[in-house]
Order: sequence, then C-alpha cells, then structure tokens
Amino acid sequence: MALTKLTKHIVSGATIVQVRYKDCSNLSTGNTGSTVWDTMTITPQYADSILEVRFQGICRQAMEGTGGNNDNSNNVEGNLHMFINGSNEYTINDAFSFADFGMPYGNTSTSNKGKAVNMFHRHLPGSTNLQTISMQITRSSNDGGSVTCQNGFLIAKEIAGGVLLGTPGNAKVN
Amino acid sequence: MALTKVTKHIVYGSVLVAHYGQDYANITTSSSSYVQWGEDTVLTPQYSDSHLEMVMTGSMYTSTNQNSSSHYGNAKFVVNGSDEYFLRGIIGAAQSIVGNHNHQNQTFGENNGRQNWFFQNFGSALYMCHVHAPGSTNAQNMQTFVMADSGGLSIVCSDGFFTVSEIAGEHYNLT
Repeated sequence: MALTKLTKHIVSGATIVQVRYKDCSNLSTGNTGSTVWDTMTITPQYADSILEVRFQGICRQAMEGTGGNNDNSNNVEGNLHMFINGSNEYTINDAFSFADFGMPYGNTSTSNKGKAVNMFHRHLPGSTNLQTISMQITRSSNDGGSVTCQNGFLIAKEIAGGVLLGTPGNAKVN
Repeated sequence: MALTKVTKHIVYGSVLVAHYGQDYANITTSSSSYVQWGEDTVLTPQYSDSHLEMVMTGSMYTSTNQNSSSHYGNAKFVVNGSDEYFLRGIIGAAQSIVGNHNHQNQTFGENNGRQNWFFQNFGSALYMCHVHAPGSTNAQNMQTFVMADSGGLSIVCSDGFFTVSEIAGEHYNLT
C-alpha cells in the first residue's frame, strides 16, 4: 500500500485541543459593586493556544412602582464582565436594564423584567498556566431590590494556535 | 517502525466531526405550557465519546399589551425527550394599568378622568448554547421549546436558527 503524505487534509476538521463547560450557579444579590456570578478554570495545553470563551444567562428582576405621581425613580443598569486571572478581559455595559413605570393616583404594579445576556470573547493566555474565568456583574443601583442571575452556561474552547491567523494585516486578531 | 493508522485520535485534541443547521419558522404562543419552536434536528453521532454542541439564536418579543399579572418568556433545549437546558426569564412583561381619577370642578360639577398604561414591545435577542454528551452512537433528537410562564402573554419567537456540532471526544472538562 502506498503511503499517504500526512497533511492537514488527511484529517478533516480544525483542531480543538480541549473544551471545558459548566452550568453556572444561580446568583441573587443586592450588591451594586462587582459581584461574581460563577467561575471556571481551564489549563491550556499549549502556550500559543487561543481560548474562545462564550457565556450566556438570564438577569431578571421584579420591580414595583411606589405609586407616587411621576414615580420614575427606579432604574437599574447592569453590566456584564468577564475576568480572566483577575483582569477585566471584556465588559458589556448596559447588558441588562430594568425600570418601573410611574403609577399616578396611587396605583402600583409589579413588573417582571428579564433580559437574556450573552458574551463571546477570545483570549490569548500566552502560557500553560491555569486560567480562571470569572463572570461578574455590576449594577448602577439596587432600585427595586435584588437581581437574580440564572441559567448561566459558560464554555471555553482551547483552539490550537497557528491554525487561525485571522485577517492578514490586522494585528488585533493575529 | 509499525505504521499507525491515521484516525481522529492520532491528532491530540478534538476535531469537528459533523455540523448541521436549520432555520426555525416563526411562531407565536401564549401557552403556559412549552410548545415546540421549529422542527426536530436529528443527528447520529459518529463516535460514542463525542459531544454535541447545540447553539440557537433568534429573538423573542411581545407586541401586545398585557391585561393582567406579570410574565416571563422561557425557552429550553430538549434532547431525546429529556430537558437539557433552560433559559427562564428571557423577556419580562408587566400588566397594563387603568387609572381612574376623580376631581371636582366647582362650577360644572364632577368630572372623571381616566388614563391607561399599556406595556408592550418587550423584546430580547436570544442566544442559547449547551453541550450534550450522548454517550452512544444512537440518533439524538434535539428540540427547542418556548413558553409564556403563567400564560396570557403573547410571545413572538422570530428568526430562529439552530446549529449542532459533533466534536470528537475525549478532551472535555479535563483540566
């Protein structure tokens, strides 16, 4: 049998070195400062690998107007952060927001506010050291009470370096 | 030296074995029970140690006013009839309010005023991803379901697109 030259074409598909994923714990918090939703670790097998990290989940809150005239004081803007090894790797400001509505004449109403949040980012660890991915939120206020963060799913793929070169001449993706 | 057969295992790491995608037709539901969005996606893994990465994108919104109560829109993945993953609270909605106000006009007697508040056009982009380990080479039936919790909320599920990737094992959650 003739030998076949071993090239990238002999095995179809791109090389994914490893994948790590996690169903995240739910979080209910009244904090406005940086609060950890959940964390996950991955140790790259190669220093030149690329980490492709994706996250999704739900932030929801029930807000109730106080019933006063021109009651529009309850507003919450929330940010979603991805920290890797303690550094803020990526932030989506205003990833979720909640507000109540003014209810003149003494009427009050509880309104459910829910937002699907998701994030995609590419990280170059540059080493084979353990990488700790921490998903965090911050909020502008605690108007209306605690926010519930639920159904989070975090997935990190180590993709072998040298395979994906990105757009030629674009240093940001090389 | 003995020759080594070239298989997916000879290359360290995993390879993308199979990939499939399909559009979901738009649906509208006000059911408090889960109803299917789109059609079944059936994939038969080539290897029993593969992982199936499911991704669905689309949007969910309500364009009608709400008459009572508060609601959320939910979605879930189902694989082979078992719940695989939930997203609860994708959108929220509040009840509409009718406010009555009485005031006394000294000259012409009492007049009644009335104001309505209608909450509508709640919407959100939807991105849902999960990984399923089938553990066999049996056909895997993947479905997406949506619902309006507590009912009465009319939800439009739009522009859905579902993909599944079979990624060869066994390099999952090892480090």
